[in-house]
Order: sequence, then structure tokens, then C-alpha cells
Amino acid sequence: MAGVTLNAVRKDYGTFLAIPELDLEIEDGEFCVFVGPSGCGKSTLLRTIAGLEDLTDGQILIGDQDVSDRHPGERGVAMVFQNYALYPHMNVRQNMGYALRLAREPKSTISQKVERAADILGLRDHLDRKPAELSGGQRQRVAIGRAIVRNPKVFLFDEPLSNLDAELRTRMRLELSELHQTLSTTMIYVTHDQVEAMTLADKIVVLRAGRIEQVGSPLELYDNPVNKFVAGFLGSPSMNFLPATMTANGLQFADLDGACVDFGTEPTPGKVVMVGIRPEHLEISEDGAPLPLRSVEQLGGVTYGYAILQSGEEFCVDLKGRRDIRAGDTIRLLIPPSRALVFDADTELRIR
Amino acid sequence: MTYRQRRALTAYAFLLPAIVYFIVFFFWPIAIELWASFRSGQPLIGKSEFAGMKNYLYIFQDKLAIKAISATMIYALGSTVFTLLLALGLASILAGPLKARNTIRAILFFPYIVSFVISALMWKSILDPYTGLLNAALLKVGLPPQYWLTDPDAAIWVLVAVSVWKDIGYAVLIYIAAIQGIPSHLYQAAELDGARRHHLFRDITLPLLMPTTLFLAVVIMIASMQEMALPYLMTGGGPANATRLYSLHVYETAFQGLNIGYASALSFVMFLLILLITWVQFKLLNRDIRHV
Repeated sequence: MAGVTLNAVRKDYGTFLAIPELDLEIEDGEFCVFVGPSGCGKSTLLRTIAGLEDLTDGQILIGDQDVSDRHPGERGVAMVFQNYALYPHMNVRQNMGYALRLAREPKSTISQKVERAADILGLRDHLDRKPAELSGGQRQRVAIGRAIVRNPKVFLFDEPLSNLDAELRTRMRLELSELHQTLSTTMIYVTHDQVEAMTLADKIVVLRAGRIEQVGSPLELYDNPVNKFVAGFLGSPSMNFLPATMTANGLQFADLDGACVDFGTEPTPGKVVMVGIRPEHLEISEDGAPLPLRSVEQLGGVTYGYAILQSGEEFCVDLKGRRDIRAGDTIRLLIPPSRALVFDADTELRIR
Repeated sequence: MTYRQRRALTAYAFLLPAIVYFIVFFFWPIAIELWASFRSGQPLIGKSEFAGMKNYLYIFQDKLAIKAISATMIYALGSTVFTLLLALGLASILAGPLKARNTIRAILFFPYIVSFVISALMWKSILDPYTGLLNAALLKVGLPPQYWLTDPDAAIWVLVAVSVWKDIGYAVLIYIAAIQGIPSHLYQAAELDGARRHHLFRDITLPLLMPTTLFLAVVIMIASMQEMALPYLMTGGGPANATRLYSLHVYETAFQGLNIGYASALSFVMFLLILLITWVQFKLLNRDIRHV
């Protein structure tokens, strides 16, 4: 087991700079999730750690060893790919034991390690099958098993659940979480699914255009995002943003009938800001500003109402449990000052 | 008429031209040949009578036929093995990021599109012991001239070499397409498993190319076993019948010896032999590889 340290890591493809310069410390045994939109460089970063992409500049340490120039097979990492990357001509046993065979381990040891991993993942009955004979979930388990048998210092996961259906994805997410608890090995996980990030991570790294926007625990990032991008990326449904203008009395919204709320921020009269509020933090009250709902989603335990603001932005409200509210109804909303986050409209940075 | 029947009828209507073509140009000649192979005299062109298995049994006494079978096996196996080995090596290089790869591919493919007659005559002239370019080149570097097509031990291998030269472009092209079809993540997964270049080739490329190798082996083997133009044009089957390939023997038996019944039996034996070899190749090389 070992932590991972990235020192001034840079990666470019000719003139395209995928990762400008990045420093990151991942603790030993930590479950770290790289999250961000498509093209943000999260997979590139993971593949650079794996050694599948050459580093342009900087240093990668696994434990206290500099692995920047090492062959992928000598870095002590194992990777689970999005599309499983199982060898189609080998059966499950051969797939899982391939790395050990290359390392010239004795047959009995290979067999023992493969069977132990198969037991952990419930693959005992499938050891002699080819990948094509397995379901999506079983294939993903084989891919994880192939990583486990190598007993790596660090596990790397590149969007491993995105090819699975919703139900299986939830189950595998739990299994991965349990696996991390069982093995206590450092895991780095790439996803664009913020639910996976929130549920699995000890530490989330939010990336945009190859740069780290924020690093922290899931709830830390959820409650205290440093900018509008992080605030909007984490949370489902995502945070609402309302344009507002600072006045001496507080913030005056262009929408919501021009409601004025005192958020306690130092006012710069006339300054335009964005106010972020999560759907579940909005309060429905007779004293609130009216909001006509365009559509309503009844999910059983939760009800979401959606409106389009004058600014054209979509606005989502958690209607708290089951409610007899339909599309076209008007609700009255209050924005609790303690729950709202204020962001600079130009820099998108949080104003505290 | 029900919808299903109408659909079936439409399908058969579309298939009809192909069915007619195959019956007229394939199955009917095969049937006639089979019929002729059991007759003596002049089947197809004159009077003939039923001869039972006589034609087939005579093959075992026909020393020229036995020699032709052995020469054909050497030629077919040599052509197939060398073409596949060289093509695999070249394709592995040309599938990579090589600068001149398109030019090299075009050069390699060129012999495949050149007429067989032109190729055969060109090589015959290059290999001529007295006026050929190859011997002139050997003399230039101080080596003795070789009797390429008149040495009984060398001639068959010269034909093999020309056949490899002719077919390699096609095999390389098919191999390149197959190599490029192997998903790159398999190589990456193997690299993470600790595989080096030679492991990647041995454990990923080679096994995943098995279906392609089987296809090429069958196609080249069958074409080689039916080869006639090359020995006919370059050596006339000599020296001392060393390059008398089976098809040439059948051709001469039928159209020079006018022994149509026996030639038909010879052809049918070749048909069965090709069937047998193809079956063996399927047994040896067929691997069920389904990408997931």
C-alpha cells in the first residue's frame, strides 16, 4: 500500500495542453475520486499515473518511489477500464492470472491467488468461462479481480461503471465501497457521475480543463464549494443559480418578483452576483415570492418542481415529500440566507 | 398467399440469379465431372462407357500423379507458411506509426494486381540462367550463377518464392486490417499486467489474429493447390517433373492426352483433398473469439 503524490505534473499533446500543471497528494489507503465534465483531463491524469501516457513534465511518486519513467507494469498499479479490457481469448482464470504468469509465479500460487480473488468477487463458478459468456456485471468483477490478484499498491478505476445499467451500477458501487473497506488499498477513481463521486470518495478532486478546481471530502465540497463550477457540479439535482444585484439592503433578485434578501455579505452596491441555492434548501412559505411551476416530477419519496426564470435559467425546487402540486401551479418560495451561497458573476469565485 | 409465404417468395426471387449462376457454372460442371470420372473412353467429347472405380484406382499406379501430389503439397504448404509468416511480420510493422507505411503497402500490394501471366514471364526472364538480371547481379558481387528454374531441387522453391511475392500484398492488407481492429485497451491492460512488446505480440496480437490466419491459410492453401499458370508458364512442369503441379498434370492429361475420364477422377481427388485440408485447418486454427 502507498499514497500517490503528483508534483507539477504536466501533460500536453503537441500544442494541446491537457494538464497545465498539477499538484496533488493522495493519502495511503484513501479512496480518491477525480470528477469533472467530459474533456476535463481526469482520464488523462489517471492514465498518466498508470504510465499509459507519457508525462510531459513533473513527477509521480507512488509511496516514496518516483515512478515517472517506469513501465506501467512496474509501477505497482492495477487498472480497471471502462470497457473492462478483458482478453477475449482467455477464460476468467487466465484473465485474472495473466499478470502473475508474466511475473513467473508458480502455478500453484497463481491458482491460489486467482481463486481467492474469485471468492471475494463471487466468481468461483465462472472461472472457466470466456468473457463473452459473462454478463456486464460479471465482466466488471473479472476486471476488478484481475486487478486484485496483482496485489497492487494503488488501484486505478477509469469510469468502471458507466457501461452498466442503473440497477447494476448501484450494486457495483456498493461492492466497490465494500472492497475498499476490505482491502484498504489506495484507490483512484475517475467518473463524471457526481453521485458515484459523492458516495464512494474519501476525497474528491474536481477538475476542469486539466486544473484542479477544489479538493476535499464530499460533504465539504457540497457545503462549501469555492466557486460556481464546483457548486453546480456536485449535487443532484444541481444547485440553482439566480442573478442578483447588491444593494445597501441586501441582494435584489432580477427574478422572483424582485425579492430582496439580506445575506449578510459586505455589499458593494450595484455589483452583479450569482446566488446559488440547492433545491432542498428552498423553503415553501406563504411569505415567499411566487414561482409558477412548469413541470413537476413525482418520484415517490421526493417531489421536484421545475420553473424557468425570467433570465432563462432552469430552477428546481425540492417540494419535500409527496405534494399535491401540479404543473402550472404557483408556489411561494423563500431563500434562507444561511443556505444560499454568493458567487462573483465575473470570476465565479465564492464571496463569503 | 400469407405474408410469410410472400416474403419467402420475394427472398427466393432475389436469390434466383445467384442460384442459377451457381447451378450452371459450379454444381452442374462438378456433377458432369463426377459422372465423367466413372467412365472410360471419351466422356464429354465422344463415346464412353462405365468404368467403375478404374480411373480412381489407376491414380495409385500413376507415378506422375503421385509426384504431382507431392510437388503440389510442397508448393502449397511452402506458399502458405511463408506468405503468412512474412505477411504477419510486415503487417505488424506497417500497422504501426511508420512514416512511409502507405507507400510500402502500395508497393507490396502491386504484385497482387499484376496479371499472373505478366508476373510469371517477368520472373522467368529475371531468373534466366544466362540473360537474367538475378544471375547478372550475383556475378557482379562475385557469386556463381544459379540455375534457378533448371535445378530440380531449386525450381519448386523458386515457384514458392514467386507465389509468396505475388500473394503477400493481399495477406499483409488483411492482417493490417485485423491488427488495427484489435482494441488498444487490450494492449494497455496487458502492459499494466507487466507485458513487454514480445508478450503483447505473443499473448494478444497472435491469438486474436487466429481467425484472420485461418481465413488466409484456407484461401492461400486452396489457391496454391489449384495453381497451374505459374509452372505452365515458367517451367512447363520441369525439370524432371519437379514442378509438375497437380493442376498442370490434370490439364495435360485432359487436353493433351485427351484422357477425360481419368483427368476427371484426378480433379475429383483434388477436390476431396482440398476439402480434407481445409477441415484440418479449421480444426487446428479455429478459435472462438468474441470481443466484448
